[in-house]
Amino acid sequence: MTFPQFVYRNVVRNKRTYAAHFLSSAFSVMIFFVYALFIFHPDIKKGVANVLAIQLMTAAEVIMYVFSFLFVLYSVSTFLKSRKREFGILMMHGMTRGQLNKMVFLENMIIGISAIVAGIGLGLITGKLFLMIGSQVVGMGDLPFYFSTKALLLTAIAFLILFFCISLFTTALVRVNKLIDLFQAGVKPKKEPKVSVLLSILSAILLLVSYYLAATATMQTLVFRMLPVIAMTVIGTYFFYTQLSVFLVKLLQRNRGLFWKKTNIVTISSLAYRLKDNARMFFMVTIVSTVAFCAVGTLASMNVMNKQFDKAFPAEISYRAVDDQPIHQQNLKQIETELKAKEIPYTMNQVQLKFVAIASSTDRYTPEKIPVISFADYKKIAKAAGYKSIEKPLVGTNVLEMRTASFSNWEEITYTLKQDQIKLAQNKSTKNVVVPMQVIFQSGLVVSDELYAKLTPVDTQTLTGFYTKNLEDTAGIGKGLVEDSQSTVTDDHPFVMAVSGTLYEYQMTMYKMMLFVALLIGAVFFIAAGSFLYFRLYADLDYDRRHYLTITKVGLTDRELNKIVTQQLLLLFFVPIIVAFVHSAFAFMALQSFYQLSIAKEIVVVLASFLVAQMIYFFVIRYRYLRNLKKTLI
Amino acid sequence: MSILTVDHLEKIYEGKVAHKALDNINFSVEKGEFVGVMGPSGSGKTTLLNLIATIDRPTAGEILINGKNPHVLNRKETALFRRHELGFVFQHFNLLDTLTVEENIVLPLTLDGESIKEMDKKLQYVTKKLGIDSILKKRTYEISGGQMQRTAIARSIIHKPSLILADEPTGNLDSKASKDVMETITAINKEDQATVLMVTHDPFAASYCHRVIFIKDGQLYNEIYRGENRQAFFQKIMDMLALLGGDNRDLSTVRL
Repeated sequence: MTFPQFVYRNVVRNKRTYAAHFLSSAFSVMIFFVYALFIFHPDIKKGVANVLAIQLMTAAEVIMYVFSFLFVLYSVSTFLKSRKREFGILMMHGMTRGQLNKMVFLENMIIGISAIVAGIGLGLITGKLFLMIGSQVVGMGDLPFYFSTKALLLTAIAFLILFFCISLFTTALVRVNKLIDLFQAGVKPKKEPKVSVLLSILSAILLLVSYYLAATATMQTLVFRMLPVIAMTVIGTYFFYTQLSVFLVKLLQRNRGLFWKKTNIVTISSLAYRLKDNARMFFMVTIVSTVAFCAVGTLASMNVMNKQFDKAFPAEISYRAVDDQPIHQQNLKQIETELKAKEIPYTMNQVQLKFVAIASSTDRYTPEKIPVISFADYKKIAKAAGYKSIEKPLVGTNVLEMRTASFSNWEEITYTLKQDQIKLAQNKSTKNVVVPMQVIFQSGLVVSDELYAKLTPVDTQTLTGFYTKNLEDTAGIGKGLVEDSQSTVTDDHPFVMAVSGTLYEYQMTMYKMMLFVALLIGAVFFIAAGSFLYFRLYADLDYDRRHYLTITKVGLTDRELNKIVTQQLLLLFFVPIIVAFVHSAFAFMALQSFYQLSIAKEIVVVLASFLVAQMIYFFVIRYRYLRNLKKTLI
Repeated sequence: MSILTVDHLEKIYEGKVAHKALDNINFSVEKGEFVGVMGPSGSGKTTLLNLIATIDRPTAGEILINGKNPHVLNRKETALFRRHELGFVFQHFNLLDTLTVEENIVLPLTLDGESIKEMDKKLQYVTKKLGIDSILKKRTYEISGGQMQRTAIARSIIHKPSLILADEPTGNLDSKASKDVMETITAINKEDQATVLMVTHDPFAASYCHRVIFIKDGQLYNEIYRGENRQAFFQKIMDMLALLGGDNRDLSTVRL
């Protein structure tokens, strides 16, 4: 046979060993391809709202690519390590280093190209399914399956480059100094893990500090704290695994009463061994899982923003007329007609807005005029909107800031009006939103009724509000008057109108899109984490077999073997996940500061689903692993 | 000229407890000789073979194969040296289980980039001689132990090396397979003038050698020659082993 024939046969006949690596590579290719199908789909390209979606997906695509690179590299290096003995034999027969490099390179290219073909093939088959799900999520109606050659080419070329680079890399990974090291690689016992007390303490400090900073973060401090906390968490986690956990287990070992009890002796000693050995893997699984949890959790929590919509828009449809033209009567009539046509019960009210001139203010930017509304009118709006608030009526020159959004960072400002130099000090805000920002475009004040009567405005405007029970019903009303449910004041458009139903729909669509993208990324990361575990387990399988064979010769029942293996697998599978949970929990605490309502429900749902997935994975792997082990034992 | 010269060879394994595996080993093997190395477990015979096979590096001393010292060559030259000058027959066969029998045998030639025609010619010659030409297309897990070992032997001679190194070639075989293998190696040694250095603890296998070197605790202990009769040689080997294993004050059991 020729050399290429040899390499080819070596690969093709070794399917068991390559299976995991091949499957995970093919999976990466498939996800990438499906995303590309979305991005290049001609129907999705239309529609203004979807520009953001395309941007998001492209960003996700890039993330996926970088991640696939690292992931494939890791799985390849794991496989190379398990083939040391084979390389020893080949070199013993006189294979030069150059030939070995060529062989490894060719092998990787063969597997890579097959993975690309398989991944694209799978993508074509499941693509239709994804497009269906995706179009439901985005709310676009059925997307026909469109075979995009651009998507195909992009995927094929991108991954060809990826596999080419990795194949080059891996040749550097095979280190051969003495052949005897290669032969003994599987047999040599591993060195005892050493621990540094200093680093253990450092890791504990880093983690505790990051947790504290995350838990006490507010909306303002969050942005500054984010990067340092992430860096500290990553470093702390790394040292936690390589140092602190080994330290803890060694402490366990000193307690003879516990250590020398039944099967504990085997479990705990293997643990101490495995922890250091697998520290790097644990670290990666934890970080990757945390990213997955945070991505999905953050987006799921945005659902709360949807719930807060109600609070952001007291009137489901707001109409602010900037002057007294008869066109306003026409428009208002039209809105009413549309509401009646849709059989939506509603109430309507109108309040007056006085715009008063400002002489100066303590704010950075002093507006020329600000809108003012009387306390009685504010109460009228709040009542019609169904808000419950027990605020004391204002007296004298006490004023409240006119709230324009659910959460706002207002500041204490003192305005000096041109009129009689009246000083109005704003040091509190109304409990409820008075006029949404989308309608008023600037901040304003709520004043006492007596002061309102005294004020001389430079401009007066009428604010009409339509109040309905369900804001979703109002979606699409007034389409002719506003595009996209908002408007700016122009000459032939002397009013501002906001339809919360349409806005809500828009936000929901965006939210669903982002959730879809996040879910896909989260799934990929989570599966990658699972693969890391799988690779680790099967790389050590030979060693474990011999290990347990030795112990069975001493006398070990099946049940005891099950117990030992289960205990170790439990730790291997769930320690990184639990640490990832803890990390994410603190991250979510920081996230909560963004929202008024609690995001707990969404977060719990997300974390619970990941936990269930991991548990299923655990049971499946445990079953197969035990079966594999027992094959060699009698 | 000697095919193999071992001069003041020493190997010390470093570590928490340093262990001297070989101490001042000197011997040489002429072309066409069939030499056996025997000794109790832990005597260092496998270490010796590993050093000669370039699998491991000596701590001190010199090995010359065909006048060349393989341990001073650079990596590429070492690989070529292994490919051209050495052949291996090891206890655990070391066949690649992803290849068929014939692919395993032609592996050294494939690595050398020989033409398919040449490879086929040599393959036919070697497998016919060893009687395994009927199992060429089979995979390694489909053949018996004796057949596996003969495949390994075929692989070790197909490129006509200067020196064939065998480590416990009969270790995993039953008596019939052992006999077959030893007779095969003897035939190759006689007909093709192949020089063979064999490490074994099986006196039956050692009795096929021209001479046997005994090693104890990393040092040369004794050396005996075959003479005419293999059965008598077998008895001499047994006596030597008894001496090796027992106390010095034991009476030798050489029959008069």
